Amino acid sequence: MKPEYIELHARSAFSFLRGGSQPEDLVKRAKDLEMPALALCDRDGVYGSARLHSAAKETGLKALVGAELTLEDGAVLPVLVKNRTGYQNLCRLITEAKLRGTKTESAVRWEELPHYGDGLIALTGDEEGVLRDPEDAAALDRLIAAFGRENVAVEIQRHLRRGEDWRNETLVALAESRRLPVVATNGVLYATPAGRQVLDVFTCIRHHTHLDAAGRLLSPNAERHLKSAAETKALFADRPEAVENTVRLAERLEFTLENLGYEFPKYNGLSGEAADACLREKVLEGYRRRYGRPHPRALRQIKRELDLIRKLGFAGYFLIVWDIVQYCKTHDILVQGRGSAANSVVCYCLGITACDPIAYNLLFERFLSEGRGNSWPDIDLDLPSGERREQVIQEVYRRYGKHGAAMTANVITYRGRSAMREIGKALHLPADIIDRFSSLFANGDFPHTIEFLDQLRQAGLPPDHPRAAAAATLYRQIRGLPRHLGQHSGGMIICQNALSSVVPLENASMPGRVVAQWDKDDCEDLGIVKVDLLGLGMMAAMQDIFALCRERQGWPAEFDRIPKEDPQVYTMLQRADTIGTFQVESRAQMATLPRFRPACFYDIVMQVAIIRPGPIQGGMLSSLMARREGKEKVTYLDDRLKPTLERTLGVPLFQEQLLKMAMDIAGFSGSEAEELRRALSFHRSHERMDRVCEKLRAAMAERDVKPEVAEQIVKSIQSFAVYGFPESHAISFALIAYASCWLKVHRAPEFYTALLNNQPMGFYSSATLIQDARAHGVKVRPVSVLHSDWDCTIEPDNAVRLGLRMVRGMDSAIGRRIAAERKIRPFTSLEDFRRRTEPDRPALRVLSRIGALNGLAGHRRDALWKTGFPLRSDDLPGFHLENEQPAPLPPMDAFERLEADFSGTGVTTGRHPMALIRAGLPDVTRAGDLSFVPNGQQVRIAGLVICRQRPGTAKGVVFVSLEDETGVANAVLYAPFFEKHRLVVTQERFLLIEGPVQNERGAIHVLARRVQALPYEACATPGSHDFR
Amino acid sequence: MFLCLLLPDFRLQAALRWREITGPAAVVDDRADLLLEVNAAARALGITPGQTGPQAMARNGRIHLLPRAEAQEHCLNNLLVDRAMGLSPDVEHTAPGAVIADLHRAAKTLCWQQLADTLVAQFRSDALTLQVGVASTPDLALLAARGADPVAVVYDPSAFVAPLPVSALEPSEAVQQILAAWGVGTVGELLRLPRSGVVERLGAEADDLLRRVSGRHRRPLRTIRQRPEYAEAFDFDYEVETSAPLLFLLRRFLNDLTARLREAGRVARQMVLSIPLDDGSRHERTFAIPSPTADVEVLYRILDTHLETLQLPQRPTGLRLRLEDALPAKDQLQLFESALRDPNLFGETLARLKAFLGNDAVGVPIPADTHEPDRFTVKDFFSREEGRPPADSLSESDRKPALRGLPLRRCRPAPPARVVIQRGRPFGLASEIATGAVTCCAGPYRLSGTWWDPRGWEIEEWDVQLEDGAMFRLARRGRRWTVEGCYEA
Repeated sequence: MKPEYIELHARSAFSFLRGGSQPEDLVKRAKDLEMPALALCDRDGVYGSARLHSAAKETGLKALVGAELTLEDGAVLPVLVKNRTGYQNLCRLITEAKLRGTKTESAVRWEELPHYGDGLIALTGDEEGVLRDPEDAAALDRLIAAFGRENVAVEIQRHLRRGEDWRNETLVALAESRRLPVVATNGVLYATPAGRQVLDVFTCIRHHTHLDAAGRLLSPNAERHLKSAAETKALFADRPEAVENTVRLAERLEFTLENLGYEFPKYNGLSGEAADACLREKVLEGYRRRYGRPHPRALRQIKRELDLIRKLGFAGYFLIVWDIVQYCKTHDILVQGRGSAANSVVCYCLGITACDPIAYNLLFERFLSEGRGNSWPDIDLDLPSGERREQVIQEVYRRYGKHGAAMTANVITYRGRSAMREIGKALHLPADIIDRFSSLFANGDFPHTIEFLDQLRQAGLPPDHPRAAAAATLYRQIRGLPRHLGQHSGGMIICQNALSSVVPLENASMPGRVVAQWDKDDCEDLGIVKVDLLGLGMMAAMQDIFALCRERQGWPAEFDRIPKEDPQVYTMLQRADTIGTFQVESRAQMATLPRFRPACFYDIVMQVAIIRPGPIQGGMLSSLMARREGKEKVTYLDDRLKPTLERTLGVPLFQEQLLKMAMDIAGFSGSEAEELRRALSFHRSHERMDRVCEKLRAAMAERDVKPEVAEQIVKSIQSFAVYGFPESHAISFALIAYASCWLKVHRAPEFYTALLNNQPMGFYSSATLIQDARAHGVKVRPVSVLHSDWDCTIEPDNAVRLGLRMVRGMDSAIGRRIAAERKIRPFTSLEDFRRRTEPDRPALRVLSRIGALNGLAGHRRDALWKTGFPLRSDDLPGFHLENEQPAPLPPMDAFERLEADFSGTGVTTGRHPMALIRAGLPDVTRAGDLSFVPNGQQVRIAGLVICRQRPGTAKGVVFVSLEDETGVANAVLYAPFFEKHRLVVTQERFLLIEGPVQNERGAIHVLARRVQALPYEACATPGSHDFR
Repeated sequence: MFLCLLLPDFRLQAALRWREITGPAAVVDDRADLLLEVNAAARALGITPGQTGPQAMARNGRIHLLPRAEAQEHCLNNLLVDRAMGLSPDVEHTAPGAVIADLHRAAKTLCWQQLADTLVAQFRSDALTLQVGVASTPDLALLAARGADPVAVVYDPSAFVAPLPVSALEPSEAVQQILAAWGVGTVGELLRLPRSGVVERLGAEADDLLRRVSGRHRRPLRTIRQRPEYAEAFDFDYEVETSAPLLFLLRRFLNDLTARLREAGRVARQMVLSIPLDDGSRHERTFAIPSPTADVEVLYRILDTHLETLQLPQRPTGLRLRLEDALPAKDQLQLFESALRDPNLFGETLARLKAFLGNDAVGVPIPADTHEPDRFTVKDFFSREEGRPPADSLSESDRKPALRGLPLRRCRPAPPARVVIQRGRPFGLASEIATGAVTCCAGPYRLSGTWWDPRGWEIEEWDVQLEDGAMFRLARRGRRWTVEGCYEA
């Protein structure tokens, strides 16, 4: 059927506060309206076009590309892309403007339009458009001069408002006078009329006002939604040619994002066979280094992989990644590939990954297969977070230029709190209610445990408040909509030619960074290769540990030298003594370790993978636990699955197993299986998921798999395809986890020192790490100007000396100066210290308060008194004779020292706060004593709250960890109990919890039956000892 | 001697004024959601200033968290000054909630304790807690008031100041932090330190602190010479829907204010009523009192009459009342001069007349900033309020005057109509002003707004021409049709 109308001017929510619907919702609505094509013209970019393209591909809709350009005079010019040249011009034009301006301000110059106009068609826009004044013939002539008469169309819109007939008639007359076609559009700002409310709220956000005050800034009606051809024809019944012209114009728009023209850069200019040969050479070199002696199986796999890489033309990609890895290695930057790349022996030989896929029987197809279309393999590199990672990122920019490389975007969406904050402001709700909502629901909201209106009520807005209903509706609509564009933590894209002709680039808020307008999923969907340069705090810490080891004992100086399968590591893991380690330190990990009892490296691999939403939601965690404990028989859904699932006791755990299951039981090829996985993990399209599941069912039916078994297999595949870990990724992480555990066991001083120097990272605060260090016999000494460097260091007797970096508010220049001066000559007196290091008064005060000057003064207050006066440069040495006398101030008592430590450094090397009030809590069981309490016995535990967690998979259950002087006690709070005591649990720093002990093979927690604030201040002293 | 009147927890007392609140309560800094002051009940529950709202709620879910009531604070300050000026012409407004009066000119036989007790009782009758300090210097009087329970008369300055917390001296935050770090908690502990050492370390501020507690330094008062202000204010927790709470409060305001007027031997010549509204605007009205009086009933009737028919565009969020005072009139009329028998009654009659015609019937109509057709507000003829929004807040199309087309003569109120619809368009019209078949029409024009509120509206308009050539604007709200007006050809 011949199309009768094409919508040529629509904006999505990716116009950031100027559109009210997701591109996917526009596609869905367009499909409902049986539209054959839709042009998306987001403001100053093609932000939403990739998503529109992907969604449209699923439905058969043609996604046309366009953009609204803000011109220097404030007019908004919609342009549509005819062909690839036009697209490249559009991207370059936007990039020029964006890189010229700030993140939010970028206007296209009129004079640029002729230069970049080729391949573009210009519309005249709506009331904000070039013809804001419909009688402005000069503006139209300017447009004709820029784009050519055949590439300009006069746009008319009808939103059922008075006055627009006059405007349209004037525009038509103007078009006739210039012999230009007139096209009708609906100037779409949202998919359905309900989107108007969202747009009105966005308008308020843009204008920093609220709905009651916005007046005529708000939409006059809800007419700017997608309309069917019939509706549009009726609307423009007096101008049928304007509707028909949309079809004619759309026919000229050949371009879609299918023809992006992206090319990955060539390594050293090599392409084709030369690149293949180069890669082969590097891989064989690595093979000899990795395996040492001939390994036929590895060689066979290398040949197979290289053949496929050659066939797919990916050699250049591997070489580029290898090159980045080489850069890291030559610049002493720890690097390790993660993700599915670890399935590839080529990556292993190139030194990109650290785990041998041959030894672990990893499935290469998870990484690369023939049927993946234009999809590039995904190689993620873990780097030490901080400066070293930035060094690598800047090196990539340096090599490919500002227009050749960019970080992928990260679309920041309206989440619970941010959505409510904006809605609250727009609805003009009292600020304290909005603040309270944010404060109460800081850790996410769980609609299955508490209704939104209930949340509002708790924040102080009664459900019968006249605006509560509107708040609830808007909250539903706005959550998940894009808020602004950030940059991805590590995803970089690069291009053979200018990347700016593939996707518009813009300045990130971070200096020196350029960001693309698409996120990593968009880039992947469109075949743009991404290299993830991810920062891991633990990598940075490990690099520091190795440096400390080199300084002190000589080994292990690097990752590969860590001894394998050390029994002490497994003993520690089975005790759940994992604070500070990588991946296995979370509360949930610690709760399962004593039951899971890892005894070999592969157990760590499973342990890393199992505490994930996929396995937990799919019931795999409990099943695997029961099977390991012998409580459940090891069975298989089908005997054909036994070889694949044997090592995980019949429980599917890894994505590779998913692929293998589909291959074994449904006869899928490797690439078909990978396509299945990708479809299931592609949560934007339910249709695609349904289609592959149907294919899987049909294949299983053909192979005589019982329907109920087939259904179970489909269900289990579905549940972890989305969240499940690739086995290779789990192995990569397990390597780091094992290494971190080994270092904690055998190099404890170095381990804690490096962790403290790399804070914030991991799960626990410095205070908890110090308590843990002391529990492991590592002495931790306080900050002292006589001993501390800027960083934490290790003293000859293996004690950790806290560094001056721990001192809150300490200027690093002063800190480093103190360390440097002391190395020249020890400080002999307070005056000597002050004269040589010239610390400012606040620094002196904080150093005195935390006892860092105790070596030069009698006690903390003595130091406070003696450093309290200004030291003049012309004072003769010894001028302040009273400093020889003790200060007239009393020494601090234990509570005062504790308070000074916490306020000055956030940690204490003295007694734990709970130890100081222990005498006042006779009936409270200490964390370290819980293991002696019989299962089921009622106890009371108390301590400093170090962690509150509410995993999305735990049905609203809250896990709270309380630290005391003997360790950490864990409590479990079921959702209804938590909701009843939400405020106490979320707001109090010290808690007292009562309930029965549950001890399952050493995994101990208290099931909370009562919870109350522990008024620490009252227990401590009558004075204030507030740590907040 | 100097006498200091101090309202402890001043911001809390102001926020609690006119409220019937029992149990734990705190006044909160809205911007940071931090507790500024708490009452004794809250303190007993472990709730202290500096905690956040949610932290306080965690300690006790029933705590009343009140925002600062700055208008009420202002009124309380005025009340304090007014009362102090009743004791002495030399009064210093030392700090919010604290005034010091110089009583050196008072009679030597005056009993300080008795005077202070009387003041405390006077404030208690106004539901306010007062602390009174009497001492030989202004600073000591202030310190005495801070530590009073509720009255403290200082005869031995050094014994008095020693146990006081240093915070009572209100040092700067920086000095307070240093003193806390030194472990100096009381004035006595501070005084035990070598004076030169303290001054060397803390600077001139320390010198000033030490001088203030010495009891020997009598600084001159920064006396004020302001006219007393008779005003009261209140901010509601939630916007109010009816006039009952307004009237209730106004009567209490008047009771207090007229009592003060009578004490001062004055009368009200004018009342200024101001009602802040929830869109940030305010309704303000000045009532000239035809015959100045301090009679509560007369003043109340004027306000009651006004509020009886008052329709506000938004809901009230607070209430302010200010009485402008004058000496009672003592003029004698000329022999043949006629006087109104009761001028106040006459004023009231005028107000009732206006009430009968409607407040909106008098004044200048201003188009409201909304897409809703024919919405306007009325302002007083001599009001300075601006009705139109600033031009830069309007879109390009709105900025241009819509002068195209025929003039419309609006029907107010718009008469109901029956409209026959065929193929989605008006086909026939029957109404009290026009009836006939529609020969041609334009539309629909759709408008809607205030969707976020129960007052949401939605209108569909049509322009129709009847067989006789007359043209009308029709509007449909839900199922109800009206004739909005006729076009003048």
